[in-house]
Amino acid sequence: MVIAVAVVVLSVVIFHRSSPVYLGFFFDSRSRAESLRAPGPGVSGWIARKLMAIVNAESNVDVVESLLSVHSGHTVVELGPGHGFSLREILRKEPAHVYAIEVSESFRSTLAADSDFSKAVEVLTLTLTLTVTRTLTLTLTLTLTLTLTLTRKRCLRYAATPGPAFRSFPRSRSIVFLV
Amino acid sequence: MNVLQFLDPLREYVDEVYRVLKPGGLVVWGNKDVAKAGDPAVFVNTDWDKCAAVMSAAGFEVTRAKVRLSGKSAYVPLVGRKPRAGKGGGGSEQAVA
Repeated sequence: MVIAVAVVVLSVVIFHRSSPVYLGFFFDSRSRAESLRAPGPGVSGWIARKLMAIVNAESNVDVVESLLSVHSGHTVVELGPGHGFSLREILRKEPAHVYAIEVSESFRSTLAADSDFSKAVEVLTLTLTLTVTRTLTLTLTLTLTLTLTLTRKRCLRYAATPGPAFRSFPRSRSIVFLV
Repeated sequence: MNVLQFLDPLREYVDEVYRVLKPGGLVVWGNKDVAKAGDPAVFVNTDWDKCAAVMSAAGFEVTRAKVRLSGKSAYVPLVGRKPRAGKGGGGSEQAVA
């Protein structure tokens, strides 16, 4: 009886989509795809983040080194910085402004906690803005916008959807998008 | 990197990028072919030729570079530049060897 109850409870925990230990990554293609689009805080999200770290580390550095020629006067917008592999390389080039737009809350938390980025942006003022946007026509829906407003030359902004974030972009001489 | 495949509707996003860029500005999309095996309900753009056509229709001068790197790190770059003269009836597409 105890074993039967344990099996039922375990099954509910593992197979229920809202469970933090939902293992849909392994048997549900839709869930796996959604985790790869925007990794959540649960087990599936953790697996997706680990997988993305393995697959993206080298290519994200290569794309900055080989295809972008970022200079000091540039504004760079990166959609989906994820772990921040490209972001780190971009910041080394010392552009005027860097915007990182990330749909995944767990990735945003990781980026915000990264000491390298904190040092790079020389935080003097920190403003936290939380916005919920629900757009029916866009895939990147129900998003949170976390804005770090920073002084000095560089600004790292973590947002979720391009639309609202784009509207506040300064019109610089040169904007480079890395997507 | 690995964002283009999720953007739906793609044209709306591409138009927004085009609008924000200054003339001469650059957009670089990094794409991995592994996305083609993903759930098509989520991975909605996995035909890089079609994506290049959408960019071109939006006004970008599109460059398709060869696959870069190899193995798990391999990716297909799609590079678009907003013409300095502004939108003039669609951009051109150019394959880079």
